Amino acid sequence: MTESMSDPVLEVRGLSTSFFTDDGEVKAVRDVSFDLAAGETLGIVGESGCGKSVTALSILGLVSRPGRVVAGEILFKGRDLLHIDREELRQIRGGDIAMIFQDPLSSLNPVHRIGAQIEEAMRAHDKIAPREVRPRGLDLLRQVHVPDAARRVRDYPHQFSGGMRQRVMIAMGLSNRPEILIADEPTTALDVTVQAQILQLLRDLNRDLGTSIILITHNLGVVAGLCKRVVVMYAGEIVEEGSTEQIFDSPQHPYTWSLLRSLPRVDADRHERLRSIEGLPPDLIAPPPGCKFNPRCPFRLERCFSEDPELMPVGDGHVAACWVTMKRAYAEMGAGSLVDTGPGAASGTRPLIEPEAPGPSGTDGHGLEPETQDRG
Amino acid sequence: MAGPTTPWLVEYEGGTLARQQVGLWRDGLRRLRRNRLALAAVIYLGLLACVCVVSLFWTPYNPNLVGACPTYALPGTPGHPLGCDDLGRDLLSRLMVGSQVSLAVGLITAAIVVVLGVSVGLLIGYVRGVVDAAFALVINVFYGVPPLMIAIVLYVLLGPGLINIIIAIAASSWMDMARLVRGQTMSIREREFIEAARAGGARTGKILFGHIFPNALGPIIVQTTYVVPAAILTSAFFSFLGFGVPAPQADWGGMASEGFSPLLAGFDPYILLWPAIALSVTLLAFNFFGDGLRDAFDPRQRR
Repeated sequence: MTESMSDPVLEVRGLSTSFFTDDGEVKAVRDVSFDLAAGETLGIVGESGCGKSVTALSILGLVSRPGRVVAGEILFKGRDLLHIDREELRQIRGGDIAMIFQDPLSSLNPVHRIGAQIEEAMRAHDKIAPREVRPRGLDLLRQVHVPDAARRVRDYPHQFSGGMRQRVMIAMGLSNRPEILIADEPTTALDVTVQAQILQLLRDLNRDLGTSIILITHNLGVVAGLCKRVVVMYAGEIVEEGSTEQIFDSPQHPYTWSLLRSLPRVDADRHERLRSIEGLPPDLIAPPPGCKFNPRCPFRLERCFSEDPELMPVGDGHVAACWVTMKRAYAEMGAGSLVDTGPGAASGTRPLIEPEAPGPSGTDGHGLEPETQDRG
Repeated sequence: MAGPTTPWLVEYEGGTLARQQVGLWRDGLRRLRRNRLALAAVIYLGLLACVCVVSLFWTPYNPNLVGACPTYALPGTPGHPLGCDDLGRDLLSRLMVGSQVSLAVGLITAAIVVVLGVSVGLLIGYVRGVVDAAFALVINVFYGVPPLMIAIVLYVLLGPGLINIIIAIAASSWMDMARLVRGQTMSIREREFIEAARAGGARTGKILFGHIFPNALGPIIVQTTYVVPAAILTSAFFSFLGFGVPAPQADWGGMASEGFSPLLAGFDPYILLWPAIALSVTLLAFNFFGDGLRDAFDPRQRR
């Protein structure tokens, strides 16, 4: 996983973060481990509520009550960020590890000028000499392609469009020359053309400055455009990890496979319906026993209800936590021609929804009855 | 677009197509100007401030001079447009000097309330938890103590004086400001730019005073304009009861008190009337000004 790269700048080991609510302990992140090499681009993918953002916030020690990191270590250049003093952690936040957020509309303080906010980000740390702060602020805005930067440093956030604000956020993030930039859904609030520009910008910055990027998103298309490696999360756990090619060409976890199938495609049959993943992510207070994906998995086996699979190698640097894996699903369950992806559809194991009503998964006119496929 | 030599100015002249942007302050002031009542209030308060400053150096007569004019001289007596009181002191002079006490109490109390209330409110709103619970208790205790009691205790311990009045009023009115700022802080701290600032490594002090405070400024200003008239009224009330500034220093509450017995004795009511009018109009002006500010800075009420 770290082949051809230098030592990892960031190692997350067995990270578990929980929120202690009145209803019980919500295990938002469970035993998550991954490495980030210098200059690498890593994507963390999953549905809403699968623990992507909490993982990122845990890295920077920003999980607030009632949440708490309950186990694990986060090694930044060998130092455990969970056990350093507050001032050191503050210097690392925004200094060595910067983070940009989903909604650029609300991530800037509305009452301060753009330039002042960028300068403030530098003044919070000792990495940039005070004399250089002002000219560097302007340079950064030019670097992220804010047109007419010299005039616009004096504008307020509401005078900027969403895409321009995200550029400002990126400029702020880069202001202290961080080694890692964590981008939490950086393009979600932006329209598609602006998304592409922001991704291009992140790609250029990664290439030119060598900044490692952790990109958190639910959008696999965004990941494909930027990341070399992908971590797929489901219900607070990593279910699959591999290179972008591996994940996209031969996903091994049924969840990853389903996610990819739910992507809209330009080259798809015009009348083909989008396939959604049936059901909802599990309750994180009382998750189902066994594999957390079993209530929604079309390929589940009896074993999936009782035993929780560990991450197991399925290829070179490619791991997945699944008892079936898609190799077997294709070989034995006819995954290639599967139309109905309802729970247990391919294996017929303990159907939760009896006689499969034509659901949103699209049985329109193809006439393929999924129940007649071979059983696992 | 002009050359890059003097970036701020030259590029501005490059001819922008954007509409002239109006900042919060200018927009607020514009709204305030359109509000006639608030404008009248501002003008009155400006005049009052001038009178107050002038009275520090000059009054028609020495306000404390007994026998400056005939006792109970009626308003309109030559040289004494407002008449004289039971000791023959010039009422115009006393009324002018009385504005000093009112404005001093109002403004200094407001300053103390703002500093104390904002600091405490920001802190407990941001830290929450045990600190918040502890301060909630303290605040509730303060709510239970009537300002008059504090004033009387200070009067007994320290003797009469302006400072004691200010302390008594401030001690009994800072909690409202603290509560307001606490609530504002609790809502602003959840906004994404605060999290972004924390992720950027901003220091806690910077987050409190650089990020949260400016965003809560509108409500704080408006609350302050309500503190001022309340403090003036309370201090006048203290003076009326005899716990105010020591005689012979003139203040409007005390003057009203002095005019009360002549009224009962059957003399004309004007000795009571002048300070009462001054007090009422001043309070009204502060309230109109406060309302105007609220309308100007509250985005939900914008038309």
